[in-house]
Amino acid sequence: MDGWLLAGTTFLASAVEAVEALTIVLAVGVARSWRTALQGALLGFIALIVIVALVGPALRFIPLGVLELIVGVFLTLFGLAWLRKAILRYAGRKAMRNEDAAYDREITEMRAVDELHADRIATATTFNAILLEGLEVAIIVISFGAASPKALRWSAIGALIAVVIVIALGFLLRRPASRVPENLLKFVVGIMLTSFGTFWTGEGLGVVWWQADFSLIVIVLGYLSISLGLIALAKGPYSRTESQ
Amino acid sequence: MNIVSVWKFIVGDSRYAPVSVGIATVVTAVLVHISMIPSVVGEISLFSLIVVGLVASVFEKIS
Repeated sequence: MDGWLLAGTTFLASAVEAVEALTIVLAVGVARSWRTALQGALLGFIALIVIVALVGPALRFIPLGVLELIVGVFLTLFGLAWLRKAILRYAGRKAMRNEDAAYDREITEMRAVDELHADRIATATTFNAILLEGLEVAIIVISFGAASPKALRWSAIGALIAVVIVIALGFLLRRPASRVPENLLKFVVGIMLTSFGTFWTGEGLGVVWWQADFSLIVIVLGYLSISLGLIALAKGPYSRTESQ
Repeated sequence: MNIVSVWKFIVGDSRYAPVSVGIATVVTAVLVHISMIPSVVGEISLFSLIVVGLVASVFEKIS
């Protein structure tokens, strides 16, 4: 598989998670203090490293075919959920995700909390945000890099670049949330996750793909055209809108 | 975090998408183990069944 394609995919997927985590860290930093926000973020990052170090190597003992099947089914399910939401959003059947609203909500909640416990909650909030979103990035990196050490390296490079860029942009812009077009990012990531998932599910089951990895491009184009068609169809005069 | 919340986190709130992925996996597994059937049939059935799940999941709450 092409290394740059792999790195590009993990870059996009990781950027989504990084934007979400950074939104929470910025909100807590503004509402309480940068010390508590960064303290929680740092603790979350340390916990993340410990968990990945303990669990990550265990993946190597699973037979590749079984691993591809498990990861493929997982990615397909995960990707379909993202893709479905993105299609419904673009079709106007679901409210667009608004990171500004999430940011403001986070600040309001933080200010309402008793002063005595606010610092602890602030630290715990950023700790959880970094840990959970970081685990998602780790799963993406390990899933996409499961094929070989080289794939893992490309996968990690894509994720690392995404995280570094999002953090840098976040600190430069201060209010990063809505400035990154997250809905478009989620649509693209949904297609990529579903495509990789389909491809690896097939490989895990023993399917010999036509032209090997080139099939992946065909699958991506297939899902893209079908999704665009679904957006147009879902915009039609059907009845009610799905609630958030 | 229990298993149900993990499952919901992964698949979202669609009922049809996970069913279609399950059916696609089983059908493809059967097809690739029947030697007289070309592999391309397995490829197409896997992709098509997942697409059916995607279409169904998009329209399942738009009545």
